[in-house]
Amino acid sequence: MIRRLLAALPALVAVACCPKQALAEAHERPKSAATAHAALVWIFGDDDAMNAPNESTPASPAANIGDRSGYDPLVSGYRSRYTGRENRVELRLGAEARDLVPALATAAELALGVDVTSLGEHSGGSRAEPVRTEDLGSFVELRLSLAPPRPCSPAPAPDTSSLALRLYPIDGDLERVGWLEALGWGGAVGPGRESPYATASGPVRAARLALAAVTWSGFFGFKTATFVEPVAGAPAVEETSYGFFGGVEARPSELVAIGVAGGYFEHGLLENTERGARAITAGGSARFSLQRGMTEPRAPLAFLGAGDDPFRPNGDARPGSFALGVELTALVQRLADFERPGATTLVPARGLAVFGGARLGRFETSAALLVRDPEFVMRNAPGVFARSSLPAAALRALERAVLFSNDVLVSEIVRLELATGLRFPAAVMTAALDRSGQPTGATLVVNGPGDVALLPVGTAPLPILDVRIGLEARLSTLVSAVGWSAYRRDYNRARPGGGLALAETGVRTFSDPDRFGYGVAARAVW
Amino acid sequence: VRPLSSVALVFALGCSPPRGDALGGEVELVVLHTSDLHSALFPFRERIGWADAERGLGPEGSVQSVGGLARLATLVQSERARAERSLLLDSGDAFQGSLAFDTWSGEPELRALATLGVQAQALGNHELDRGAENLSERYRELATFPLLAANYVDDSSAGIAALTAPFTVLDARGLRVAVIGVGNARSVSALRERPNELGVFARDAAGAVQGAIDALRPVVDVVVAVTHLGLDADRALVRETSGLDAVLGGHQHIALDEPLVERDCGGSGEGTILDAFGRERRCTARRVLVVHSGAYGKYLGKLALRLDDSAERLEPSYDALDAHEIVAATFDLLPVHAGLIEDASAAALLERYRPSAAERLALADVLGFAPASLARGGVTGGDSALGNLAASAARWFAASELSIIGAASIRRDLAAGPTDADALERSFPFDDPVLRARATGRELGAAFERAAAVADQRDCRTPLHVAGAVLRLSCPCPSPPCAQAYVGASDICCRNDAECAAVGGACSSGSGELGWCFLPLAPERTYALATTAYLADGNGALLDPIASSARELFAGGLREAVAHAVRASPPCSETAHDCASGCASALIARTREALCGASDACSLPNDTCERAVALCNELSCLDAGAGAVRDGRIRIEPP
Repeated sequence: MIRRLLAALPALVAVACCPKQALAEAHERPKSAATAHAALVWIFGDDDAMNAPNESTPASPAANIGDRSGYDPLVSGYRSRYTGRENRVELRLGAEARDLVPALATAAELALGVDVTSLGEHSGGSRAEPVRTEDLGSFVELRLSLAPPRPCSPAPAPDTSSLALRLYPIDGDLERVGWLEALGWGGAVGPGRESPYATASGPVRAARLALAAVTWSGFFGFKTATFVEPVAGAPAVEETSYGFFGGVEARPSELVAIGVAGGYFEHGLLENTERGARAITAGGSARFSLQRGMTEPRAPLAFLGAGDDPFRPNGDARPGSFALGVELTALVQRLADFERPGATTLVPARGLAVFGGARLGRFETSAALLVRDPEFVMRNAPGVFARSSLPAAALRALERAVLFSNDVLVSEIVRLELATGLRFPAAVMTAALDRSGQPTGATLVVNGPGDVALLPVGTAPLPILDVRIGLEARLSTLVSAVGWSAYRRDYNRARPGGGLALAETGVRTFSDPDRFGYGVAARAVW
Repeated sequence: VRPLSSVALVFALGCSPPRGDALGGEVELVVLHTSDLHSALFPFRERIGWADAERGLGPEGSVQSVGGLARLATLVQSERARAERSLLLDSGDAFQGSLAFDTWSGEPELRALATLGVQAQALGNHELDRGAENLSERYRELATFPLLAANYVDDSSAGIAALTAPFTVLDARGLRVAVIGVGNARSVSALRERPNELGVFARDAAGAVQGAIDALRPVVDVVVAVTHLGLDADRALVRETSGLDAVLGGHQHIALDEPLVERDCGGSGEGTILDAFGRERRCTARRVLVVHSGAYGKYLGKLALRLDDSAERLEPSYDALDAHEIVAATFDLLPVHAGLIEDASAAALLERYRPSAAERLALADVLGFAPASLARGGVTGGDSALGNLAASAARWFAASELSIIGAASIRRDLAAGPTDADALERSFPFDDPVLRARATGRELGAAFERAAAVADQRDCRTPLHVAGAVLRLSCPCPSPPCAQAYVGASDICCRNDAECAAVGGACSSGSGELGWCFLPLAPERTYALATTAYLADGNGALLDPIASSARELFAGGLREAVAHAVRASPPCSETAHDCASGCASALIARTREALCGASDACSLPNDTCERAVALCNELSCLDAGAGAVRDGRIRIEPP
């Protein structure tokens, strides 16, 4: 490869041998293209028909037309940018030019995602949400073809081998390590763009250098983020944290794919530690997969992967195709040591997923097993006790999830979907006996950053069950009609019941753990 | 939920769980505390009262430069350098109250808190004054400490749901201190709505705090709560929980000279409490300290604790699960006075947020002259000069029959002398919108009855001010009715209530001056009421929320209303001005400060004195003519 790289270098100066052609092309405008995707969804339904609106958390209005913010069932990733069940616009304004240096392709893209649901809210109301716009990875790219140069020919060589430098001037936090969303780390993951850089002051910038060949590819990247850090006896200062990551993916045969990636990410200082150590996440991810007829193993359910992105659908697999994969991530995070004041410690965080899918006749099936420890679930806001290791006296329970979905392709246009998930949430338990012999402590159910529920001492979290049945009829390549019903049972949230507890007094009971929802929708995606 | 075998669980963890290499035996801890800083970034001048003088802010009756976060930073550093182990906690409401907040929406406040070294903060109600989005943006970018509110329940993934945490565990050189935060629930009406832009709603504070205590007690040494509830609610919180060691509170701007000692677990002996899930739990009452450190950065609270975990030296009822217990404590309010040298780096940080010279000149745009200082609270707990001025201004502004404003809308007394926009900003920092609404006599009667109940909890001080109405509140209030309300003046003159007996009314004057008899409130009649949007939304627990259909107009902000009223008042007729004293002298001093700063070499134009005297002769007078007089319209009487 190095030899080919060297061979391509003359192309960088090829402009010198064909000046007329190069200069003529230099006056041409870059080839530009704009793509816009939009998804509009009309929904009538109720995501919690079993309880009054005030009894659900988040609140669930009675059946009506409209989306429900904040409702996030396990098996559908509701209102996420991956499911196509929300109203959003994705706008990509791109340009590409290969004019001055024959082997060098240049490209730029402004990628914006807009959640347009809020446009329908009355602008004067106190509950009107601002229209949310996010950068989806706008970039400037320089791509050098490593194919043998063809001097004085304007036609580009096929990019079977290339070296690409992609620069993210607006937000590079989507660059991260790991393939599945549930196991990704070092950057934004999931519908909520959960990230260890969430508390950074301003955006995260990044750059990525990728080398691609026919059967393998590699990449290296780095990112920087600024954090406001306290300084003893002085104004806080803005410190820069750095992240480095890289990996290699190989496809030695049509059947086998292997990927290995690693990274080192700093995210701010750890307070009260000796010499102001930085919080660090470092580690590696590996994935092995076997597939035939599918480009990669499909995640059965939305929260695992990006397979439900309405704008980039996987397409129907051919009968007989399959894919199986296993992905493992092992991290260490430098956090304050709960047991040794002032010291830091390296806390392991691990996650494993086994997943796959197959198309057999009219059945398209996928399944996954996911295991993550509490530290991994909290990897993006490190520490169940913020930025600290857990007390040695605390017990841990791993998160374990089994997810399954099966689609029956009734006809070319009708698809029946059955999805179910059973998740044993991660937990941390403290307990001791008080003087009178009463157990004291609590179980902290660790669902994710900012989502830690409390259970009474001595109780283990119960599995969360989700079941969903759906029917989708494609009316055209633009519009689908969808109907679904979903059931969730989650005993792990102690919600105040009996109405809202105002101020200093209130009723403390568990609300009904069962939710049953249904809906019909017309979904247009183009 | 599925119970584990409790015995097995506790065996697995150990009956007395190991606490690593945490400290044992006697240790000392200093907890420094601030609260309700209200954007008071820079020193301000204040007339020193008796209590302030006793605490060392300056001689009683003098006007002193007090507060200022650069001075506070010096004090914090000095105390932290002196203490072997220390923490700095804040009880919230760092936002709102100065031009800096109006301009920067919280940025300088958060930078200042970071510079002070605040390690955890309870979420105050005024942090939400610019909405959830502003709060989230500011704290995500600038806060170097956790924002705590255990009693806020996530109701969405939006708003501040992901911003707040219920607790944090701080390391004080080997001593693990759990800090549980409690946000204010009464003063934020959105917390009672679902859904709301905050993405959270409030649950009972005691249940939330007990849940956090239970989770942390086995693994930490000390448990403190930092709250923004108010003093009475703090004391109730202690009684309804078990396991706290100290509560550091705020919200009501109360400065306690000594820590209050409240007993937890119901208040005495062996008792029971409800845990986070409403289940009864046996417990033994322990002493819990409650401290409040005032407001505006006038004081730094210093709670010095001596702690011990040696069972043989502690009371027989000592529970090893409580780890270190407080065996001795002192609480001091350290004055932030002019004698403190400003911390250079903090001063440099804040300098960029200081109002520009142009803004300072604009502030010198004097609106009126107050011959005497106008107090926000009445000496007898009833109406006050400043309260009456504001209520009259609101009534006039909204062209209403009567007005009701919350006493909490007025935050400072108005000093004697020239009154400018800056002074009004400090007295009326919130600029609550004033609106006119329709309210029945029955609704008003219920509001006044609630006011009597609140007064009963506030040492017999009225929680509201009125214009166009006369109130007689019974305090203490053993049983309702405790409020007699009279709205609308008759054409009968009076000097006291007895002279209104013929019409069953009450006299608008109680000071011997001539007034008018006001008639009893008619329950079925509909009145045009001017009030603030804050009260109309149901905040402050005085008015029932007023439906939008009953709201007629928004007149503008309360501060704007007062400014209008001041400008509309005639000059002080009986005041003779000269350049050596009073109004003209103060104006000359202001002009010098604006034009010359600290320079002694700077000279003023020759005609400065004449112009100052001329201006003083034209200035509106904040006296009885402007409505700035205490006339006894609200009287607190024994039942």
